[in-house]
Amino acid sequence: MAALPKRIIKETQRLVSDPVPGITATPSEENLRYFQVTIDGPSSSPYAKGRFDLELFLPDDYPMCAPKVRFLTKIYHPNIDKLGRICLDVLKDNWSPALQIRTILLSIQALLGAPNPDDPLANDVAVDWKSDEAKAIATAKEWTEKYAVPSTDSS
Amino acid sequence: MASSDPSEWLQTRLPKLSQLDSLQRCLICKDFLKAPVITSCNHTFCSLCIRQHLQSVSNCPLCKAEQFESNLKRVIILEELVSCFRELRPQLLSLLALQDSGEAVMEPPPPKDIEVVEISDDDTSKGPDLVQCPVCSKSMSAKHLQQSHLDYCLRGEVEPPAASALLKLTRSAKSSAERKRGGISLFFLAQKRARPSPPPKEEINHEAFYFNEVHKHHHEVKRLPKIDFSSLSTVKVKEKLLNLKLLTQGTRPQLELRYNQFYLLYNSNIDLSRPASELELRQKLNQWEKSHQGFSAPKAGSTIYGDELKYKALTDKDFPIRGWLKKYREEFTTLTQTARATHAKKKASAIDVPSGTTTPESTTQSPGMTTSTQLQSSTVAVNEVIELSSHELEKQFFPDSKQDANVAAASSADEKPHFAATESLSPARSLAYLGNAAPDSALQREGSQKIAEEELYDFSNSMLA
Repeated sequence: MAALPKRIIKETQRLVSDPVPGITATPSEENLRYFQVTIDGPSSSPYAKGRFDLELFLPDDYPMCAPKVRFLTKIYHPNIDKLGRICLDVLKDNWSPALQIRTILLSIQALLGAPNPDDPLANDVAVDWKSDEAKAIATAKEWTEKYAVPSTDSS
Repeated sequence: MASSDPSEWLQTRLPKLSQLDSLQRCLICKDFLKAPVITSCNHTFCSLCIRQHLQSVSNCPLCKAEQFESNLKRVIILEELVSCFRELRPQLLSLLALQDSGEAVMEPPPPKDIEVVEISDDDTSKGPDLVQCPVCSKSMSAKHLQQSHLDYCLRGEVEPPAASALLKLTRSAKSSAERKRGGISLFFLAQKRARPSPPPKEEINHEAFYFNEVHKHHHEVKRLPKIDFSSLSTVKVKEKLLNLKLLTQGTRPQLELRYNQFYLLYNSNIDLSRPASELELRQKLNQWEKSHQGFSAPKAGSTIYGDELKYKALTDKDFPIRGWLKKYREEFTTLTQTARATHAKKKASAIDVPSGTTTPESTTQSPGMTTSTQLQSSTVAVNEVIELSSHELEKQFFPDSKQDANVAAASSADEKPHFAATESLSPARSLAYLGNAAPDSALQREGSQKIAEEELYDFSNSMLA
């Protein structure tokens, strides 16, 4: 295991001490490069009130290459496939070492607020989205309700 | 030294200094600029950071404009400004530390090697609105507790002295008696000790360096050239390393890694006003090798990077996938078999078919995989990936191995997913591939594969049961 760069320590400290509203990221105890992430669905989107679990991993080359992020909670979204993989430019070609965990998670939250069926990852979802947007949004709401809304007893 | 952060200024009387602080930091390493260089698009980074970045991608991390190493220019005055600021920083922080109406801001628990002096309850430094820290039960102002102390305490760290240095209490043993006697003297004593002269480092006059010692601004050192390794024999590579007094042991990829890292260290070192010696650079290189996975000893079994595979990331284009598969084939087989067996059992009991003779083939072909949608994907997804991918692996690389119909269909599409299975041992590793998936890979999937995927959901479910 490569040594933990100072930058990762700094970022982690800041994520814990000054968290982004609606987003949490907690490093795993065994592997400080592995984070448990939750993102709250944007209020104006079909994912509102949902709290989505994600996992995030900082590869050895980070920050020279992008973190690996994946949804763990099922989500109905044209740019997120059923394995939770995310189609987002800043996670691929548009990654820059000037970005950081915090900005990436914000981008993902923004992606929830602005699905882009023209550049799909989940093809079937994208087709639904384009042919009948209202229905697709209803499905997204339903899925959010089903999988992402925390049960009432466990706050 | 504890890592510094611009946010430390927010708790001082001049919070805006955090801007000044941030601006002097490199966007890549988030630390103070070291040997700052400016790009042709006018953005500034540490020499080492930007060179490292440009080794893989030829663009500016900030604005994405095309960028080449040869265009980087040193910014001497910035380097002097930054180092000047860094020297003053601890003092500035302590001078500007917030005090609540002269209230003593207490220190967090001292490091172990220093004697702890308990401060009694009647201590006069304890004012009317002091509160106890719930973690270390030290008293301090509520504001201080909330704003900074608690953060450090909860993380189990010692609060950096900068935040409270002004009222630092001396903790030497000889003063413990005085301490008990009077709170006021304690206060003054503390203050006297609190403005320490900075550690007697060699004094550098940044002004003189910039304005008068111009001859020192240029180093008569040539940069190391970039090497096109593909056109060189190993002997030649070793020769080059030898010329630089570098080690020549190790495998060919290690030699290349070693040269490239030294190339970065060396060329960025030249951008420093006061460059380190080559000896120091070689020491740095050795340290780097110790922590780099490319040089870690191939301790058998425990790591997924074994033997000749160890210095390749699994996602590398030229990762020796065949060798890897050979090595871990048995593990895959066991995994798949376990999954199938569990699945078979479950099916058998569910459909009320006598168990025992149910073969994996017959099970996977049976319909009725609807439960998959009911699954909480959070727990299942990783298993699913492993399952799916191991099938694909078998199909793609061991076409003669036994398969079932659905798996054959499933294996047709994705190029990449097999990497996930390679990393099945830890969830963190599974991500290494997921993020890399080509956006269009899902598009290529065929209907039949989707069915297979559904089944795999089911598999995973039964594995969990």
